[in-house]
Amino acid sequence: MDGQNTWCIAGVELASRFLLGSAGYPSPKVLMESIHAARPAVVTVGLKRAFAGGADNGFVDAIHQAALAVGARLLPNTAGCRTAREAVQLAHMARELYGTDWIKLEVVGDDYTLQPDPSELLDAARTLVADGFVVWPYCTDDLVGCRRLLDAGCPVLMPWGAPIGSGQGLLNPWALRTLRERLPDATLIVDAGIGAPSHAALALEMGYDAVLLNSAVAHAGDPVAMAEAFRLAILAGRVAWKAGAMARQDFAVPSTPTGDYALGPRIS
Amino acid sequence: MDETSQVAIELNGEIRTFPLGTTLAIVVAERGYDPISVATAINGSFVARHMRQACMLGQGDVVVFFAPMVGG
Repeated sequence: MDGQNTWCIAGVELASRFLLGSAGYPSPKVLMESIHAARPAVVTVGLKRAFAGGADNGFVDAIHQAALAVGARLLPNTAGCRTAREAVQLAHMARELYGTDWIKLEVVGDDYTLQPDPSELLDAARTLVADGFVVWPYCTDDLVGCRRLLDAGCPVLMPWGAPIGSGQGLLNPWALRTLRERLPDATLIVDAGIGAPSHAALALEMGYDAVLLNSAVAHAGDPVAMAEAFRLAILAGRVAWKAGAMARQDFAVPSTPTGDYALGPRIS
Repeated sequence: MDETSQVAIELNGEIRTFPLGTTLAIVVAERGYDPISVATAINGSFVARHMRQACMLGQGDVVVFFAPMVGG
């Protein structure tokens, strides 16, 4: 689609490098229109405790309809889990409710930063892979931790750009670049912390395979327009990565070939 | 009905009593849920849809229902 080139997760071909969250939109209509504008490959969803008579005001129906219309797959998450055991149990419930083996694995270890717990995350990933899940782990940018998740059988890694919902962008570009360089064959997705289309474009320019974001669209003044902006930025970043950016230099290089000097003597 | 013929269970945080021998499938129906619209867990462990009929509830069991929702 639009020169982005398709990519694969567990044998499933995906046409877009935009993964969109479905939470926090002002209405089901805006959510549906945002999905149409974003044209994502994946829409993330969650699970909640069901109480008798508790309705969701049509948001879940809107997700199903819009995802079907744009050809997006659903990716349920384990948001709110603090232990591997909790996450494993919730993943099984998600598989039954959504009819997919795909699971976005979230196991949070700190309530202030919502930073993933690397130990519990790895334990849960190992169990879920053994149970036949395709595990998409939300992780930090720690290289060794990421290697362990790949070794556990995760087909993709989703390091954070910044804490969830913070909109701070890519706080540690060095770590993200290092991941890309040290794990050249891994499928890498920046998840969390992206606040502006430029952040998403930068992730793609760095060679990341996709981005997953939610709040930056849902909390925008005009979510539908922002979804479109992200779609274009992600496309631009991917095309730029494929094109190969020029090397940075610490000195000026004249772009106009005027020779040694135009009229006066050379300035030294 | 005497107390020994009943079990007290916790449903989404609310204590309820049911006749001894009540299954998870019965409770799902009693709550008015379409069986395919919720996932179930007892004491923190997932109980698959096809197991609900055979899953007898015991005294003090904690039953939780989960449903789809938006998510990031």
